[in-house]
Amino acid sequence: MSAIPEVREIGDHVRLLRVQTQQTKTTCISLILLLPLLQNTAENTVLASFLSHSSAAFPTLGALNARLEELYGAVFSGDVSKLGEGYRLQLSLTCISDTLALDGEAVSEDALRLLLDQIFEPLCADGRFDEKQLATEIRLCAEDIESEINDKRMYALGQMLEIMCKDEPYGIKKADLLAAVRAVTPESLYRAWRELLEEAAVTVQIVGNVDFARLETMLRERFAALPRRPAKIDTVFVERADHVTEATEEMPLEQSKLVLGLRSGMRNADDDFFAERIMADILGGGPYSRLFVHVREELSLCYYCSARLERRKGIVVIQSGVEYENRQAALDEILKQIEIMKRGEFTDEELAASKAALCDAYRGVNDTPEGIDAYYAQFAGSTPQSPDEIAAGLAAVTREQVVAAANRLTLDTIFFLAGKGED
Amino acid sequence: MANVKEIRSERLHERYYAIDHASGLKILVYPKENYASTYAVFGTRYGSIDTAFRASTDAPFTEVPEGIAHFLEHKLFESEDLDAFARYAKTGASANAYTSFDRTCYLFSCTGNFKASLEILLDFVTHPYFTAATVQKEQGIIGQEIKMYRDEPAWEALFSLLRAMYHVHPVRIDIAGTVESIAEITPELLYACYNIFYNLSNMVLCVAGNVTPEEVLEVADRILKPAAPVKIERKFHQEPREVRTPYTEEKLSVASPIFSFGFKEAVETPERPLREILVSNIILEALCGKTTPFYSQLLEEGLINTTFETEYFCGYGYASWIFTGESPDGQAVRQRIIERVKALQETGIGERDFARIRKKLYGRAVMQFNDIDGIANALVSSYFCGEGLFDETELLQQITRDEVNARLRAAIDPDCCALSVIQAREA
Repeated sequence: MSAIPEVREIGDHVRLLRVQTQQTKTTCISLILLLPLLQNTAENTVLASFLSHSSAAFPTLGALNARLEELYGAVFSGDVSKLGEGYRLQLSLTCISDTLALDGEAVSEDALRLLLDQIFEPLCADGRFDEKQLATEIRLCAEDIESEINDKRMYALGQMLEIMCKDEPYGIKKADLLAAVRAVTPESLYRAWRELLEEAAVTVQIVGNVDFARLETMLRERFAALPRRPAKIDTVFVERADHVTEATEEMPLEQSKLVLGLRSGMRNADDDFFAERIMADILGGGPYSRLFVHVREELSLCYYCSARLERRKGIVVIQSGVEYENRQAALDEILKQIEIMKRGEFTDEELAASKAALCDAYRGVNDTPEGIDAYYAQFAGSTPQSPDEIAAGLAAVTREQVVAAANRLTLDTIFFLAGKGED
Repeated sequence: MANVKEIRSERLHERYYAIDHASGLKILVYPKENYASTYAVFGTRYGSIDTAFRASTDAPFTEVPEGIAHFLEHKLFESEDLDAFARYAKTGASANAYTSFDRTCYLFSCTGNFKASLEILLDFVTHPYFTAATVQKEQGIIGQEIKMYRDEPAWEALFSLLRAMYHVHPVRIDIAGTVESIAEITPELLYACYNIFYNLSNMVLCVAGNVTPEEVLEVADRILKPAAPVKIERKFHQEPREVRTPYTEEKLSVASPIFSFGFKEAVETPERPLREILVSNIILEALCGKTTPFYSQLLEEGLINTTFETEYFCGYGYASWIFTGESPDGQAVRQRIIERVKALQETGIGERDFARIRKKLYGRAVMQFNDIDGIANALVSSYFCGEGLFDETELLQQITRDEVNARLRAAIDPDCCALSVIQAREA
C-alpha cells in the first residue's frame, strides 16, 4: 500500500502528519510533544501518566475508562521516552474505524476531542494540579521507574548507558529522576504543563480512513489560541571514545548480562546513517548476523547476542545474556567479530542478507495504521523520511561504506551484571 | 484437486479461504488487499503439555522429557546442509518460531519472494534432521534461555502459581523444561515425537496478507507429500479439584513484590468452547476491569498499580482465572478479589455494565483485523479449537446477561484458589 503522509504546519512548530488509509479497521491518533531531555524531566514523566488517567471532564480513571469503552474499547495510552536528547511525551489513541461503528457514528471525531480535552483541560485549578490525583500518579511513576530492575536486560542496558553517557544529558540517572519525581508538586506540575504546551515541538499524527477536514478544523481551533515559543533541541554526539570504561555489578541471578556501548562516529542523526545501520545489522541484527551465528550458534554461549544502532544518539549497543564463567569468552568473541567487520571480512552474502531483511521490513510499515503511527513517531522534531526512502538508502550502501562505518566504531563502555547465584 | 471453501463476514467486510489439501493438511488463506506484507504460520497441535501420549488406544502412554516440544522447535531449523535461517537470509523474510502449552508454530513475514520463503517453511518443517552433536550444542543455548526466564519475576510468579494450583497436569511445568530434563533428550526421542505430532493431519498452515490461495497451493502441491493420518491420544490428566497449595513464596531481585493469583476451575471436558471463553472475559471485565470502582479503589489504596492484569487461562484439560500485578501486599489483594467475586456472584452483573463491556469487547475484536500476524495466529487457534475466525464478533452479539451471570456463579469457586508471591530480596 502506498500511504503517502501529508505534512502541514498548523502552528508555530505544530505539525500535522496525516495518512489516509483504505479498508483498515482502526484509526490511530497520536499527540507527540518533544522538549529538551533535561527540561522538567520529572514533571513531564508525571504528566504523561497524569494526562492519560484523568481530565477536568473525566476526573477519575473509572470515568475516563467508561468513556473509552463507549468508544468501542478505544485504547488510550500516555508514555515518555528519550529521542536522542529530546524527551518525547506521547498520548496515543487507537479506535475502531468510523466505517465499523454499529450506529454509523464518527468515532474518530469523538476520539480526537477526547484526546485534546485530556491535554488542554487537565484536572487542575488556580495554577495547581489536583493534589490527590498527583499523589497517585507520583506513586505509579516511581514504581514504574523502580521496576526497571525486574527486567534484567533493560536494567543492565540502563546501567551501561548511565556510565557511558555520564557527562551527557542522555546519561540522566534513574536515581536522580526517581527523587525528582517524588518531589513534583501541584504547582511545579502546572508550570511544566504550560511549558510543555508552549515550548514543545508538537506533532499530531492521524492515520486511518477518516474525514480529515473536520479533524483538522478541531485541531487548528485548539492550537490557534496557544502562545508558542518552541525550545531548541540539540543532542550531543560524541564521535570517539578515548578510553574503555569497565564496570561490574553483582546481583544474585541465574544468568549474567554483558552490555557493550560503542560510539558509532556519527556526528548527527543523518551522518552516514544508512551505512551505520547496515553495519550494525550485519554485526548483530537478524539470525544471519555475525553475533548470532558465531556467539550463539557456533559457541553456544548464549540465547541472545545482538547489536543495535541508536540513530538519534549515534551509539551502538551490544547485549547478551551469558553464564557468569563465560564473560571473557563471550567478550573475546564479540570483539573479534567487530574486528572482522573493520577488516571487511564479512561475506557478500551477509551484506545482501542484511539489505534484504531490512528493506523487506521497511516495505511492510505502511500496511496498518498502527505501523505507520509508530514509524513516524521517531521523526518528532525532525524531517520525516518515508519507509521507501530509507529502504532505497539502505539498498544503495556499498561494502566499502560498511567497512568505513565499522572503522569509525570505538568501544566506550563494558558493563557486566554479574549473576552470582543464590546467597 | 484441492477443495476450497470461502468463509465471509458481512459485518467486517472480510473473508478467507479454507482448503483441504490433498496431502491431508488444512490450509487457511486470508488475502488482504492493499497490504505489502504476507505472514505465514505452519503449526502443529503439540506443546509443552504433551509429555504423555499414545497413537492407539490399546498401547501404553509414551512418556517423554519435559521441554521436548520446545527443544524440537529449535532443532527443526537445522538440516544436513543449509539451516533454515541461512536459507531465509536469501529471501529477506523475517522468520521465527514459538512453542506454547499446546502448540508449536513456525512462521515468517515478508514483503517480497513469498513463494520462495513458503517453500523454505514447508520444506524444513517436513524434513527433520537430528544428530547427537547438534542436540548437544542446543543444550547450551536452551540452557541459557531457561536461565533467562528464571530471572524474570512475572514469568516465575506465573509458573509458581501454576505449580501451586495443579497437582499433576503438565501445565505446571516450564515450557522449555529444565536444564536437567533437556539433558535427557536424544535424537531418537526427537524423532519419536516428530513422527507422531508432525503428521500433516495434526497441523495447519495459515497465511494472511498479500497473497492468493493459488499462490499458496502452487507451493504446497509441489512440496507436501500425502501421508496417512495418525490418530493421537493426548493424556487427559485427572486433576484433583483442590489446589495443591494455597500459598507459595519466592525471593528474587525485584523492586517491589509481584503477585500471581488464580481461581482453579473444575473441568469435566478437556476443552473450553469459544463461547465460554468470551463469557469468561466479560466476567473478568465486570469483576475488576479498569472501569470498575473496585479497580479504582485498589489503585487509590496503593494495593495495585497499572501493571494489574487478568486472564482467562485455559487449554487442554485446564482452566483458571488469573490476576497478576505488583503489590506491597499480595495477600490483601487476594482477600479483596475473593470478596469482590462473592459480592458480584450475589448481585449479578447489571444491564448497563454488561452492555458497555460487550461493546468494548466487540471493538477490541474488530480492531484485531488489521494485523496480519494476529490474523494468521488467530486462524491457527480457531482451527485447533474447531471454531471459525469470525465467530467471536458474532457470538458477542448473541451472549446474554443471564448466561454470563450463570457462569459467574458456577465456574468460580472462591475457596479454590492459590496465591504466588515474589518477594524482593534484601539488597
